[in-house]
Amino acid sequence: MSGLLQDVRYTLRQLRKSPGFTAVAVLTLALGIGANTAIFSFVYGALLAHLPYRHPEQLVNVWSSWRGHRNNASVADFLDWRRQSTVFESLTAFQFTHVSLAMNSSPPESALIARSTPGWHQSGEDPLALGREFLPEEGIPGKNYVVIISNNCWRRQIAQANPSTNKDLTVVIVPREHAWVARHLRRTLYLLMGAVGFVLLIACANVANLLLARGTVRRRDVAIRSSLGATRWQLITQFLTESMILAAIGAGLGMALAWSLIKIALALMPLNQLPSEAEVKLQAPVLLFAAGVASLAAILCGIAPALQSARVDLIETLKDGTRSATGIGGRGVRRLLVVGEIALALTLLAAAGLAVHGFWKAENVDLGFRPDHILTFNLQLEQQRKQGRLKTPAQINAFYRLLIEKLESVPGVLGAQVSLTQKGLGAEWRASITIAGRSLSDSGAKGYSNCVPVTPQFFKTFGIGIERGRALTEEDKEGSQLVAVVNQAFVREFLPGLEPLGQRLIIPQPVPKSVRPPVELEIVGVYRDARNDGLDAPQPEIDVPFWQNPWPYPMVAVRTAGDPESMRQSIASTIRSIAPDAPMANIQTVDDAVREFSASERFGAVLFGAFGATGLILAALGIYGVIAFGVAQRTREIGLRVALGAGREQILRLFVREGIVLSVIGLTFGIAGAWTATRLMRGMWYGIASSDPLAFTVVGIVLLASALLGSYIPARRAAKVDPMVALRYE
Amino acid sequence: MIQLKNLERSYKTAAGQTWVLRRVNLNIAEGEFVTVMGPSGAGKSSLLNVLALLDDSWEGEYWFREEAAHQMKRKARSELAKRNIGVVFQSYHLLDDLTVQENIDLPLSYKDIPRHQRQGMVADTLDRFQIVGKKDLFPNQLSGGQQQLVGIARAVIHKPALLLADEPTGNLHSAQAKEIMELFRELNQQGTTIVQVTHSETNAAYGTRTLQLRDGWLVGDTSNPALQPYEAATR
Repeated sequence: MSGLLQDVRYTLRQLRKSPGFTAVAVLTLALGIGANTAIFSFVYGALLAHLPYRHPEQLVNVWSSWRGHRNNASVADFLDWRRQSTVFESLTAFQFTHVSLAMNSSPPESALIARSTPGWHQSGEDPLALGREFLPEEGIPGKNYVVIISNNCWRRQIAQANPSTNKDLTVVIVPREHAWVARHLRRTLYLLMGAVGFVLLIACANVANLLLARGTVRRRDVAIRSSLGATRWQLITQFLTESMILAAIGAGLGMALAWSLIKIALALMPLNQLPSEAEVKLQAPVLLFAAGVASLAAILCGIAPALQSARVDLIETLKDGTRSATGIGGRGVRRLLVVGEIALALTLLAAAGLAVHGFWKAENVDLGFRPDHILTFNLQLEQQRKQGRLKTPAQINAFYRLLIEKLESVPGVLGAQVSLTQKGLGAEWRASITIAGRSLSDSGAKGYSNCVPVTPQFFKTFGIGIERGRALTEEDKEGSQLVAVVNQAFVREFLPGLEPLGQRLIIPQPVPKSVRPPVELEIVGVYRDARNDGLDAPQPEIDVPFWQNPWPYPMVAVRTAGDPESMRQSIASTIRSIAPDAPMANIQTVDDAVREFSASERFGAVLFGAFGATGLILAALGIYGVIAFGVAQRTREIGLRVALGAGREQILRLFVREGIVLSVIGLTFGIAGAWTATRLMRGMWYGIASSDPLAFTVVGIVLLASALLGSYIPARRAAKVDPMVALRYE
Repeated sequence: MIQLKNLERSYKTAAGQTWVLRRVNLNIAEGEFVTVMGPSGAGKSSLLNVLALLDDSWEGEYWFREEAAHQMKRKARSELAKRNIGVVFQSYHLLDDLTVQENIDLPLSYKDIPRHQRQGMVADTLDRFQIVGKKDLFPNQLSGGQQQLVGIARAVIHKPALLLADEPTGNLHSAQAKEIMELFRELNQQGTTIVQVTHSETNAAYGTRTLQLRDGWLVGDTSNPALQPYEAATR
């Protein structure tokens, strides 16, 4: 123990004497350890931590399937499953929706609620802090005026406003989202874990190189200790103590870095990717992981210099008392480390290149519509419906005609329209359709398609071009011919090789909960495909006139001349003038919604790009370090060469060539790593196949250029060596 | 104390085998003060390195106090050296980042001696060499003579039976050199066997016996006038 304390004291003294070396080593390790800790906090919080339920492994989400995709279940299906299933201990249903939260004289606020069947809270075996679960009879319409609220909702929204009341609540919020970790995120997190692992290895290789160089200078010390009786193990321990202390200090700084990285990553992460139960922070298991990583880093950094120290040639080193010796073996190990760093950096950069390229493609994809200057929202009209004001189609149409008229009269508003959903915000309704006059056995004669009631201004507001026929007009209203316009994807799927104009569609339910008999519509126009929901290829879509298919809760879109966010207040006051009890909800610009399309790509590009850049810088520094140390050790040789006639360019070439050779060898080994990384990332980034020659070429050139720079700077110093000074050099 | 029988040391070079010690036969008794002299490249330092058990690449027999060092493995030799041998170098070879006290303590730290015991031994040594006032200084704060004094203190702190000194006054001026040699004489009188390598006749005069080396051969021994010169030895 006293030997260890002695080694610690000696090491601290040595590190204090070399502040430059210590700072570089500690910062390098902090980078590697901090990045690993930050990403592990996500992995732990999202994937590894125990969920706050008693038996999480027994809790599942049950979906229906549509065209190979997950879909919500219908009420009828849910009731059948609950009655017939022998697999589930219990089966409950829930649906999130927005409502108004109104209390006494406070203005109504929009709030998110979950409508659930009795027993939903108990399904997670997560006991309520107070009160009880819903009773079975409270699941029946007419008896369902009870609520369960979260502690947050009580404290922030109700107790504050009404400290002495718990009555007359119209609605409450239980914002408890049983979100599941998307498969995409799981893969991204594990790949990020791999990326930061590579950063750590590169950082350790750099620090190991620094320690090896220091070890070469300290060979005399090692020889003296050995001559005084130090065993090999005692010498190794001394060097490992040094790397342990560096790693410990690096880990301390790394925690600060990890904290910042976590904040940045959470800000960049696409919405609703993490489960709501996930806690991403520096908690005990994460800190334990950090300690483990720091220990591993200490061993990785210290083992090569430690073993090298134990191989010092005692006699030669003590013979003339010189402080430094050129260790051929040490130089070989340093070169090997640099080759390894280059290989790892190439792998990292390849992954980064794919992510950045995918992000660029996602940002530049042709959406098929204009997302700029459009504000969208919907209105919470439950009060109006309860008061009987928006029950009939005529009432709905009258209200929205008035709304559009009022909105279009607001200065700065170029147009307004309503539809079941808006471009960029996803399609909410898929209708069953049949092509009239075709046999059901014909392919394309029957199927499902997105179906969206829109007002005539829809196409102009979103800048969607009409390819054939016409757009919807004000003449397509209640009482007139039932018509529809379809997109190109619809024609490809259901009417290949046929003239679409004039075709008739039979749709049982053009809007949700429609109780009308199936309608037959004539296709009067075909519009250009526009991406509705993310970057995926456009799905078949039918747009029907809103005035013929009114829906009480559509989304409203307003195109503005200036910044749409700045128009919020004037739009809100216009709405209040016709519906004072109908707050706006889900307000966002289409630009913001569309930005979410590439949120995954952006997240990946920033993080993989950052780690790739870090790996690149560290690898370039690694090459710089090796060449610079070589220049310092060979100063006498350089002076001799110059004295014998070598020119500046020849000296420059001598050292630059060494750097290039190391880089090329590293690149060769790195190709295997890059290929593996890209296979693992297949399909992750938009528009990117597993082989992306452009990204690989750019990445290779960038790495080579960085290595060239890293070699050139010390080589330039070598070329300036004064032969007379060098020949006197010791 | 020491018996060398047909001790040889050579290096492989591109030109073949280079001999630095050739069939050295030598006996050194306890309490002797032996001086090894000879021209540059004669093998003096090589002989000292073998005696110090720092060098492993020799052939022949080396008996140290009846123990056959030539039959020992590296670890056993290190233990033997740790217990019995102290070395003083021409360039002092102090560790620049350790204080005087820590430098002197260094060989003790590699033995299994409890800390409090070590502290006592270091304190005694500092007192014995009258360098208590300098115990917290670093080597670069001392003169050459003071550094060599510390080097000697370090070499004798564990009371070795054998003290080896390779040109101990080579980097000192004459007044400092005299002080150091007086100290060696005192140590020898207290019972320490000393073997020194030197070019200086003045330093050699402090010893009780002088060996002459030439081209790796032992060609002269003041305690053995009958020693055959190397030409005769090779016949």
